[in-house]
Amino acid sequence: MFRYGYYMVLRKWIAHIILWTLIVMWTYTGVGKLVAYQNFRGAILNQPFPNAIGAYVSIIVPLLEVLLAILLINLKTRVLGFMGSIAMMSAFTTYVGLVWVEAFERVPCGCAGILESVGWEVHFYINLSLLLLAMIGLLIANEK
Amino acid sequence: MNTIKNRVPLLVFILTVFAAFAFNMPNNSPFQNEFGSPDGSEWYDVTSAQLGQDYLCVEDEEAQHCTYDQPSSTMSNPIGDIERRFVLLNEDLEPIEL
Repeated sequence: MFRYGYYMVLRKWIAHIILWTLIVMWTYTGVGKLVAYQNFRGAILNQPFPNAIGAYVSIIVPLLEVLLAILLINLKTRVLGFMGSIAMMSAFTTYVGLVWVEAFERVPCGCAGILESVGWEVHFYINLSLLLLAMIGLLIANEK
Repeated sequence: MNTIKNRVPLLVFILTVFAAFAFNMPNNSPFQNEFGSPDGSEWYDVTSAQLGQDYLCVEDEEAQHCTYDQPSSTMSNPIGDIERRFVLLNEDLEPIEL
């Protein structure tokens, strides 16, 4: 009985920490990209996909990130927020992984922001960790 | 108590918004010029050019930078991280005369 109570408290705190981590991550990266929009747009256009796609990506991505943070804040939309986080982070992780293994004809510089200078390999592992956190968060939220 | 606990994610969001504004500055300074060279001999003024459209910065193994604040890699300040190479895309950009 004691162990079960301890497990429930631990699980609750893990859920809180994952939730706050994802909210901070999506909010900071989304708002940061909008504040320094020209920097981010240039970094996206520097990526190895057509500029026509890059122009849309540069505005849609930060707006989606802020939207995900808002979905995670609200208890009623939290599960949707976790699902969206998994989808978004899966896409990011896949792209970073492809750049890291040099699947494209060139390796571009980073996408600006806080992870610009860490390199694509570290960027990949950070994204993968956040993806796993989002999955765990969804599991816990669904159990509730 | 439960109301306060339920408001914590919103508080985290608001604090992070402030932090994002505080630590991200738009790059709209009119005073920093930016120059790049694909080979070290011909230099291009890319201050008003668009990264990704007029030129690219790609990762490179050599210890060099993509752009500098003067048309020289030795007597100027580098802009951005090291191990990056300048690639000219827009052939209409005229090289500057040194």
